[in-house]
Amino acid sequence: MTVSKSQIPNPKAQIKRSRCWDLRFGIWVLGFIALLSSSAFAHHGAASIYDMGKETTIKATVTEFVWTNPHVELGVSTSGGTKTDLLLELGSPPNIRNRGWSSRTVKAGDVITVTFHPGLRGAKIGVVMKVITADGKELQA
Amino acid sequence: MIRHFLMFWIAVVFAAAACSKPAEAPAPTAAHPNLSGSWVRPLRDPGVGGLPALNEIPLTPWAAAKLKAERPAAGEDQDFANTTDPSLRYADPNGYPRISLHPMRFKIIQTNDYVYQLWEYNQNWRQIALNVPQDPDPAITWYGNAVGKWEGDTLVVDSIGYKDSTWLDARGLPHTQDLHLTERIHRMGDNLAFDITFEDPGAFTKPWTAHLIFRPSPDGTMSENIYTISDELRFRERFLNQKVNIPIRR
Repeated sequence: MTVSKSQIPNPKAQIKRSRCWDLRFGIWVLGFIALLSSSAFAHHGAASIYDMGKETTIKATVTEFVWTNPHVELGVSTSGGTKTDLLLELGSPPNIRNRGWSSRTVKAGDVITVTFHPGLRGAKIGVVMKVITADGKELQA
Repeated sequence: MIRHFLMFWIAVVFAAAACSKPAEAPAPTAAHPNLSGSWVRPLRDPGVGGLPALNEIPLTPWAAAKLKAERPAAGEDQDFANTTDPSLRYADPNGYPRISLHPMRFKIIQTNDYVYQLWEYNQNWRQIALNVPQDPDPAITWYGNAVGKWEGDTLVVDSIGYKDSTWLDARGLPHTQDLHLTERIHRMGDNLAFDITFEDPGAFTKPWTAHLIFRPSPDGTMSENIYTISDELRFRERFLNQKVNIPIRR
């Protein structure tokens, strides 16, 4: 049986291909990290609206989940009702989609655990840091 | 007779279809570096440069006074509720180069005749016409009139014709309609560098330069992220309890 030259493995070519893949993988990882690190606050500074030094975690019932710009909106009820008594913002739609969210991740009636920076001066708003969904999935916002 | 008539019209239809096929964009020649791909300048990445500190920018008295009067929505003296930032107050396009400071990515598409820069944020874009003279009296636009030429490995871009209502950055840095940018765009290892020189006698007492570095980003489908005045008004009514003068909608 004869073996053509093209069928003989070329170790140098394999190393070169391997390095190429390493580089491509590195670029993708770098890019992915870059996407993840895009802030929720490209739209506005947070410090004039929220107490960024304070974190609050509550269990609440989702009353609305609106996939909109500039920030996805999550309304919750802390008493298990259907009326929004705390309105929370997440990142922009493409940013949180990169973090695993979709417009169907949560829906009205779901009981979730949400951690957020609360609004200043007692405002019933907040900016979400993370959510544990009804099925136990943890997502950053 | 009928058969000949039909064959004639079939031929006409095929000829028309062939003629209407869009011409393929010429690929860039190998003589120049390939800038194509997706690029991002992420927040919190200390290696991506930016515009200088405000006290390092040689402002004219007019520019200094205008800057002082503005109320930015981010930064040290942020006042989001009462901001004068036109990109928030009116949802105006960011303009250039502010759009490049946004942390969402952009894509570069490069041909022999044009370099296109497509920003994911708000689906804004600009075109850089290659090897043509600058128009001395261009239309006044959000993203200016840009022409470019290759100098070795660097794409040198000259642009004028910028609408003066935009801010150059989120701090409120002003400019006039006489803004003139000279950009030197080049690869820097895996990254892409923009060295931008700002000239504007009405706003700056002398030219100054900013260095922006962009990292490679996964070059996949761009997402739609269009932000409108109705989005902004909705946010303000719901989160800031501000009264808006038109009914908000979803």
